[in-house]
Formats: sequence, structure tokens, C-alpha cells
Amino acid sequence: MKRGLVSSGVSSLDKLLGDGYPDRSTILVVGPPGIGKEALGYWFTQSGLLQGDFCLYVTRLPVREVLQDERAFGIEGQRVPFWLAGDGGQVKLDVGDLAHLSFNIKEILRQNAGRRVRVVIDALSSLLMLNPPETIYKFLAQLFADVKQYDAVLLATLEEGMHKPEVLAAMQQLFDGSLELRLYEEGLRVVPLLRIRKMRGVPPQPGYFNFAFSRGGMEVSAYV
Amino acid sequence: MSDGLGLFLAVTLGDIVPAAIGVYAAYWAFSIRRALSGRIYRRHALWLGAVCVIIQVGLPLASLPSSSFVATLGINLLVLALLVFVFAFVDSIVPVARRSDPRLRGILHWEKVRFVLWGDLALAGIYLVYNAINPTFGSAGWGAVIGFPLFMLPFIVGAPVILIGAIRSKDYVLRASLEWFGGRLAVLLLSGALLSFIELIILGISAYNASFSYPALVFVPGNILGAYCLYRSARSLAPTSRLPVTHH
Repeated sequence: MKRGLVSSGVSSLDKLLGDGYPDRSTILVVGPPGIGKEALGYWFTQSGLLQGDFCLYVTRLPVREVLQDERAFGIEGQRVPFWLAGDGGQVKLDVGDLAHLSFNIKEILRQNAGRRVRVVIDALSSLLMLNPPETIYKFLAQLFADVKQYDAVLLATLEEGMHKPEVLAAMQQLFDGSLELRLYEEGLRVVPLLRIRKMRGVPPQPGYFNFAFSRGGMEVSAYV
Repeated sequence: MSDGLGLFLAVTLGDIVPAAIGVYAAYWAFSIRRALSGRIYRRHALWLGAVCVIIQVGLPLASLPSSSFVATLGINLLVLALLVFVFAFVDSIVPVARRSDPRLRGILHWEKVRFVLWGDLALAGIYLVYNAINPTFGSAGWGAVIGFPLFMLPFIVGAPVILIGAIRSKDYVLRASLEWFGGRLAVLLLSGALLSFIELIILGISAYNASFSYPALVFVPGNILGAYCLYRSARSLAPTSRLPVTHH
């Protein structure tokens, strides 16, 4: 692993990104529900736990549901992240209380200062639906400053089909990197494709990539 | 036009064309299922595909008159499959709708209620098999009384659950899919009511005698429209785009 890069947990995606996500960066994964965005968060967390990084998983779901979903992707990790979850985590997440969420994340990052930290957030869509976009932009600006201050990498997922296109575009602008997972029609077939919209430090990649999940992980390959 | 030709046209347009559209809708639902990886979304797509087939192909077959034990048993099993598939579809919508509610609210204790309703459908299965063995069971006595509530209970409970889920959901893709599916159900109910009205009030004949004659033509536009609704529901399962030609 090159210095200054953090493995995504998916070796074929790491190769595309030049060895992983940039350090102290914020990555957004956009796609429709069910396409597998969360799996990128699971692999990212698992990879961090194996390397001894501190991993914070922020989810509105109960922990048991996330673990069920992880098992469906073949992840049976013995090590678990620190949960800021709707139910069953070390800290309870209330998606209606943005100030509390911001404070909690900052505190957790501060307590783990000096360690490499990975943060995964799958509650961004809910936050956007319950708060005005401007409030979320301010929340994210503060969060991104904390991420950079505490040597962290943040990966957030955002649902396509629940927000206005201009909000999606604004969100993609805010993050250092943006991955899109989408379904495309190819004749009578539906194919899931990945696209790297942007990534700090990586030259623009206009192409599309096939991706598939198996019990062992995720495979990303050039789409031809 | 002879009666034979008229009936042929009615059957062809009223059943075969919608059946083909239903199978095509199912094909899209299964294609989208293959492309998805989230377990609850795959389950939703799977059951929508199954429902497209059972409504557009199974339902016309289940309406055929039967006289032998084997034919009655086959039709009753088809009715059971229809009930199971539709309820499995309803059951698959709830977790999807819940996840698209930003507050992640449970819907009318569905996680517990669903087991009771599956139990009810198991009893409905026993009822249908027994009714094939003993055809008088469903038409007289307590067998006639419990039949309708037994079959309809899962849907009487399931309908408001879906409605609440759709209202709370902020996923406009899921809502569009549910709206098209609701359109199919509305068409089914309306054309059934219209056919009954023509048969019973205007012509004064029973539904059984009229099921293969000209009044049945009232089903033709409704059935085609209904199949189209299912097709749109399947296509709305997930947003899809066409690849730009210059993607390389």
C-alpha cells in the first residue's frame, strides 16, 4: 500500500484507484437502493479492522440488521467497528438530532486521535430528507474538517431516487471522491456498472466498470 | 362474425396478449433482481416477477370451468399459488418501504403479524385441497362461511400496511412501482365489477355462463391495460439508464 492511500477493502477497486482511497479524504458512493453501495462500506470497514485502524460505523439501522446484511455479502468478521447506530450500538443515533450527531462523531474522533480512523456513514439520505440541504452542507463542512484534522477517511452512501438531482450534484461536489453505482440497460439486459466520477489525486476516468459481488468479496473489471 | 370467431378473439386478446405482456414484465423484474445485490430488494423483485406471471397467466387458467377431481385440484392449487405469491410480494414490500422511510418506522407490527397471516394462508391451502376432494364443502355450511375471510385476511391486513409504507417512503422509484401495481389491482376490480354488472343487471345471466361469451370482452381492454400496469411496475423497480454511446 502506497503511503497516503487507504485500502478500499476491494483489491480490484484499489488497483483502479492507484492503491486505495486518498488519506484524509471524503468519499461518496451514490446509487439506487439495493445495488450494493453499503457493501463498499462493509469491505472498507473490514479492511480497516484487519489493519488495526479504528472504525466508526454510523447507521440509522439496528446493528443486528447491518450484521445480517454483512453476512449476506459473506462478511463474518470477528472484529466489529464502533457503532453509532439506531439501535444496539455503543452510541444511539437519532437522525433528527444533527447537532448531537456532529458532537458525537467529533468526540469519537478526538478520543482516537493518533490512530488511523475510518468512518462509514449510511444515514446521509435520511439526514437530507429530515433537514434542509443547506443545514446538511454545513454539517458536512464541519465533519470534513474533523476528518482531515484527525487523520481519517470517510465513506458515505447516498440513495439515488430519493433526492432532487441538484442535491445529488451538490453532494458530489462537496466530497473529495465520488463513485456511482448504477443500473444500465444493454439491449434486454440490465447490468450494474461502476463509475469513478472523481477522486482526489487520481486522473479522471471516463469509463464504466462491471462489478459483481461474491461470498469472497467484490470484483471490479473494465466494461467492454 | 360467428360466435366461434368472437370467442377466439376474446380469448386471444383478453388472455394471451396480456399473458405475454405479463411474462415480459416478469422477465424485467428478474433481470433487475439479477443486477441488484441487497437481499431485501432482490426478494422484492423476485416476488413481483412471480406475481406478474401468476396474475397474467395463472389467473385466466384458474377461471376455467372444471368437472373432474384432478382439474379442480389443479385449479385450487393454482389459486393457492396466486394467494401465496401475492402475499409473499406484499411481505417483501414492507422491509423495502421501511428502509426508505427516513425515520425507519415499523409498520403495524408487521414483523409479528406476518407470521399469523402466513399461518392463515397455510389454513387456506388445506381448505382448497379439501375443497377439491369434497366440492360441496366450500358451498355449504361453515365451509362456505370461513372460505372468503380465510383467503382475504392477509390482503385485508396487507393493503393498509402497503399504503402506510408507500406514504412514509421517500423513495419515488418504489412509490412509482407501487402505484403501477395498485393500478393493476384497480383495473382488476373495476373490470370484474363491470362484467358482473353487465351479466347480472343488463343481461340477467350468471357469471359462470357468461365467462366465455361476448360479455367477457369487457375484460379485454382492462386485462391489457392491467398487464401494462404490471410491466410498468416491474420496470420501475429500480432506476435504469441507457449507456451513452461514447462510453469507452
